[in-house]
Amino acid sequence: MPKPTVKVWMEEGVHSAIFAQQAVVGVFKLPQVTCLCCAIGLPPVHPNVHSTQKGRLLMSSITSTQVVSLSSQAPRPLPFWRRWLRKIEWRLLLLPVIGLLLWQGWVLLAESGYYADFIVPHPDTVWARLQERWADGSLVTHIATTLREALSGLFIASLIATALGYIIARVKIFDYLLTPYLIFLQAIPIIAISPLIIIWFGSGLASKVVIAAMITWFPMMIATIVGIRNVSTNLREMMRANAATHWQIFRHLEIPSAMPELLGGLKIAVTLSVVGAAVGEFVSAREGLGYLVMYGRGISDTPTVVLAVLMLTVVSLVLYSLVAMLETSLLSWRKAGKP
Amino acid sequence: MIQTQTAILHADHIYHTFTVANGQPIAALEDVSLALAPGTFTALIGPSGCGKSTLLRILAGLVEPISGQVQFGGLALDRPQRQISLIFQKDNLMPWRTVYENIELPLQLAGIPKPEREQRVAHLLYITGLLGFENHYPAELSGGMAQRVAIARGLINEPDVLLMDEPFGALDALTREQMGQELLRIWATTQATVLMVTHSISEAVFLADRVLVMSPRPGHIIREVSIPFTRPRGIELLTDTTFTQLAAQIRAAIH
Ligand SMILES: Nc1ncnc2c1ncn2[C@@H]1O[C@H](COP(=O)(O)OP(=O)(O)OP(=O)(O)O)[C@@H](O)[C@H]1O
Ligand SMILES: [Mg+2]
Repeated sequence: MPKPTVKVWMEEGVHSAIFAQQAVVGVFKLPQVTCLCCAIGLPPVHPNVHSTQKGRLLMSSITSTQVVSLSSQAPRPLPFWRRWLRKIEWRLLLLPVIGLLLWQGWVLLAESGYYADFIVPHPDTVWARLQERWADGSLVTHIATTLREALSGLFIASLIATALGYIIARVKIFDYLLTPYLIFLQAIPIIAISPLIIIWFGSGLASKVVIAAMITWFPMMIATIVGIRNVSTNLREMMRANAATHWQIFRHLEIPSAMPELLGGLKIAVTLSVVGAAVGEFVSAREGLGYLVMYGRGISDTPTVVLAVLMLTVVSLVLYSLVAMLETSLLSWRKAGKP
Repeated sequence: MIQTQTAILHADHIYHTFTVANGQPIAALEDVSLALAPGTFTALIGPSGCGKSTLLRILAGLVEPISGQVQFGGLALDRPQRQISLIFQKDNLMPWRTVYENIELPLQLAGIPKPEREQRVAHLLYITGLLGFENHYPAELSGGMAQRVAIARGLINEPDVLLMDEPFGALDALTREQMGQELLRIWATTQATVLMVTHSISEAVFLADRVLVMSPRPGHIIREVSIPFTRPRGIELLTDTTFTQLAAQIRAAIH
């Protein structure tokens, strides 16, 4: 009777398979493999196997055994924040330098005496406005209002635009019928018709959501169309050969395949959504960062205008960074095979 | 000729014509009939562009022929079936899925529960020599490894019929021989019926019970050669005189 051979294969805590005489006996997680090693009287030689406790006997049927090969361990990946830090370290070093340069330039300009304070306000005044508005909570309210408008508009636009984009990409007749009219819709200058939108939808939340949606739907739709059209026909055929349903093709092929384009579109749309909300607020509003700009201008308080503009920039930046982070985590596979 | 009644997959007077972009029709297949008896290994060989891939697509239920019919298990084949597995000429792997996830795909589509999927994928990783690479992405594999992943994916469903379109095309000669023997070993443990397209005459003779030779486009089966060797077949067969004679016969039929 040949001696049973057991092959233990371990890989970074994922799947570990135990092979006995070329047949898989089982797939186990790392702690169980440790138990197995102990059970069959083997030292847990693996560097990642720390526990030496005697565990349950997992495979009583294997009596005389030997571990043939232990695949070498890939280095444990760094925690995500360390990897992230590694990547941006040098840029972080640059940040104080650039910040200081900008700040000093601004201070010099304001203190030069060439410009009145209501043309180039001193950074200290802007800082003071920030503290005031932070203290009375109005800054947070304005930011929250603009965010709510922008994100609601983006959300509604994304739903409609991805659905439209999908049917246009998949069904020729919809492309033929709808595309010219949709381009016509996009050709309307949104900024120019925003007063009309305010007249139609009032000066509350609804009108800003509509404007933000109108400014963001087009990039989302184009991204969807391009993404779905780029789905490899070979992979479609492979899915069909595996008797995949339409839903399975959508879920396992079209969505992951179009994800790079979709996230690219979302990056554009997310910053545009803030623009949309601000434009609506310029025309007519009672709160929001766009309103704050107009309010500051109305009472000739330039520091408030500057503060509001800075806050709009920060909001845009934060939203963009969130999408960029989403992209890094969802599209990590694209780094594969590249130096 | 195998009796139609006993065949698991049976193609009857298949004609297929493509219309290319400039409107010109291209006859790819002309009156192709073949029958695959359950559990047999058939090799299909023919000049490039003669319609072998097209025939496999038709047999897989992916393409409907202009005329003629395909029967699978006695029923007309009108759409792809899980029991028929097609391994494509290109590896067709999903770049966003790891090796493990690519091999797992057909089981996932068939709704097999996760623990069973793990076992079967692990087994196929082992047979195809891909252990240790399960977390790699296709972009990180060599051409031959990618093709092995595609083979593993084609085998994972334990299909009744395995259609292979030059599965070893991207492999080097040595791996090719190894994989051929491996395939025979796997095949011996299953009851699968195999139809394999290949460009290598010796590979066809070594692996198959029967070799079908196709004419240049429009493809038509011009010759059928039975291979009498018993199994299991060893590598020493390659120098056998009968073997070389059969290979020469097939070579003559092609030219
Ligand atoms: N989608 C298509 N549209 C138009 N013509 C096609 C299409 N697919 C194949 N053809 C034509 O049909 C013929 C047969 O193609 P097929 O791919 O079946 O050949 P093959 O025998 O597999 O060739 P090879 O050995 O090079 O892979 C070719 O001459 C090709 O011009
Ligand atoms: Mg081909």
